[in-house]
Parts: sequence; structure tokens; C-alpha cells
Amino acid sequence: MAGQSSDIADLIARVALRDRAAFQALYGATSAKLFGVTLRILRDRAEAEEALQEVYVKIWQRADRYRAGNYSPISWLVAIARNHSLDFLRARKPVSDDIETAFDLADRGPDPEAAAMAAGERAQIEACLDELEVDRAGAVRGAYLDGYSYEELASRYGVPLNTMRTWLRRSLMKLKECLTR
Amino acid sequence: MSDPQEHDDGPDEDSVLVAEYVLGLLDPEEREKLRARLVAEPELRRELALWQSRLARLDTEFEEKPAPERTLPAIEEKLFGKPARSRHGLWESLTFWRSLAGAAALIAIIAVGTNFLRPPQLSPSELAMQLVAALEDQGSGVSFVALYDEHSGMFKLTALSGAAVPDKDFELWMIGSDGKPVSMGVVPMSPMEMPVPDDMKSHFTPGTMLTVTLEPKGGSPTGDPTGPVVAKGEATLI
Repeated sequence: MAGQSSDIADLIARVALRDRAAFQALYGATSAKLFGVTLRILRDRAEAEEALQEVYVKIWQRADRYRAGNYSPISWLVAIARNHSLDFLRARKPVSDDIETAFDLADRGPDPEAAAMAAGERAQIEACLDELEVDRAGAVRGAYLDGYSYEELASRYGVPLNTMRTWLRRSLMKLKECLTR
Repeated sequence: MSDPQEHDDGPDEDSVLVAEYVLGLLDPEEREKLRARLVAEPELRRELALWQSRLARLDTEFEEKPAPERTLPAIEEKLFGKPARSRHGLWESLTFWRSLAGAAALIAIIAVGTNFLRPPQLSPSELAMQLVAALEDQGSGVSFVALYDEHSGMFKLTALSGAAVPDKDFELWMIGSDGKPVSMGVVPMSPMEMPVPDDMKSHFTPGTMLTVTLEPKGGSPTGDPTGPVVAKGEATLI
């Protein structure tokens, strides 16, 4: 996918210096991933494309805020795309066929090549999610990857809203314990 | 603050709240409250970083989807307010540059160049404007290339063809937007370089016309051109 993360970090640093060529290169290296994010969460190509444009505007404006740390550069970009998509999603009215469409998208597996790259880290969270009951792991994934709200999760899993809240919070605590073990 | 791994209710409750924040599950009111706390509480910010990093491990599950071709030009237009450039802008501009250079060599004219591209493709750190002007032969056999670099404030002029005229000098003029020529001095046939006076810098823009006239030795006695125009060309931003 996006190449070495040090390359991405370097491009972000150059974008912070207002280097338009670096911006084009960063776009080239990361736009497919970020479009994957906006598309999966928004489930509408036109909206996902609009959101993607706004995401890169933000990246241009905020590149100087990126600090190398334990947060990888691609994760930082994904977070911008994800948060922007969530804002977009929460601001619009629910569309009736969203859930149905979402099942199609959610059932698709990850890109094998991309998956291999972060295999170690991913294996760990997978292992920890596996310790949760299937539905509950699915709810965590649905919230993170699909941007589902508590209401949508409750309706998908056919449980009352408060039950879903309790489930998910407990799952998050278990996940944390597992990941910090 | 307690160790976040400690199992008393406070840190656990906060930790879950932060995780819900990262997941986007809080309602707008809860979100605002937590944001205010994040500003004030370093421990909470640490928890935020931990959750972002934990959940980011799922990022590999976002499948790559190629964005439509039109997206990048649309973004660049939003950001830079200019007509979208193709992603092959550098290549195109090089071709353009080469064709200009070729023309200059063949016809003994000049090039007018610039900052090839608005995005500083060639020199990333250099955002200053560069102007190049081809001062074409006006039947005199004399032509020049002029280059102005806004960053350094230096103006360079090189004769491409022609020869000095005995007892005469060539004088360079910049034609301002009001149409009045302003002298930039007598110019030699050998390559020369000079700083552009501060009061003239603002006049140096794309579209500025440069002319060279044949004047009495030492330059025009009146301050205005008195002799024939031997070469002229327009400064252009490519």
C-alpha cells in the first residue's frame, strides 16, 4: 500500500513546509487507503469523494501538527480520514439502506498485501478480539471500521441500546487488558 | 493520577470514555465535555494516544480503493485556487521548457520562463517567482534572454545574438503597467547580473514587457528611449 512509513513521514514533513510536489506524492501514496476509509464509512461514492477532498485539504493545513511517535504516519492520516468521515456521517440523516449496504462492505476481507505489512500488530489485536464473544468483537470492529453508532449497533445485533452500550464498554476494557498484557 | 492499569473505577471509566471518543460513539454533548477535559488532563491525553494506537492496528482492514482521477486536481484547486494541474505537470513543463529552449536556440530568440510550475516541482523549497523573458530580434539581429529571480532579487541578462554597435549602447527598459518605459540601464553584450532596485521589484510580474533600444553611448540622454527598439519580449510565468 502506502510504502514505507518513514517515506510517508518524510512527505508529511515536506508538506508541512508547503511543498506541493510532496503533497502530490503523499496523495499518490496514500489516497487509495484514505478513499478506502471514507468509502467504507460513508458507503456512498460521491460523499466519499467529497470527504476525501476535504481530508486532503485538512492534511495540507495540519501537516505541521504531525509528530512522529508511536502513532505511525499512515495511522495519523487514516485517523484524519476516519474522523472526518464520522463527522460527515453523523451530520447526515440516516439512509434506509445503509445497513444492508454495510453488510456487503463489511464482509469483505482486508487486502492481503496490506494485511501482511502490519501482521504482527494486527495479529495481536485479532487475538485479543478473538477472546471476546463473536458479536462483541464484531461490534468493536463495526464501530471503528464502519463508523456505526450505538443505535446502529443495537439495531444490527438486535439488542436494546443500553445493552449494547454495556457490551461494548466491557469489550473495550477486556481489549485493553489483553493488549497491555 | 492512578496507574491506568489499576482496577479502580475512575481510571477504567475514563479509559472507556476515551475509547468511545476515539470510536466516535459519544453524543455531541459528551464529546465536547471530554474535549474540555482532554485539554486540562494530561493523563487523559495519554490514554487517548494509547487508544488511538491500539485501535489503529485495525487500520489494515480498510481496503484500498483507487480514488477517481479528478480528485487530486479538485483538491489542488481548493487549496491553491488555480486551475488543476495534471499529475504529469513536471513532465509537461519540462517539455514546454525544452521546446522554448529549442526555439530560442534556433530562432535566436528567447525564452521566457519561470517557476515552471506553480508547485515548485523542481526546487521544492523555493516558492519565489522566477520570470524568464525572451527578448526577440526586431530585425536588428540582436536578441537577449532575461531571467529574474524574485527570491534573490537578481536579474540576469545574456545576449544570444548580435554584436555591439560602435559608439552606441544598448539600453534595457521595463515597460510598466502604465505603458511608460523605465530604464534598467545600459547593457553589455556579455552576460551581466544585477540586483533589481527595490522600487522596481513590484513591477516585475508576468506580462511585463522588456525592450532593448539602441541609444547614444552611455544611454538615453533624456531618460526615455530615443533610439530604435532592437529586441523585445514579455516576461512569462510558465
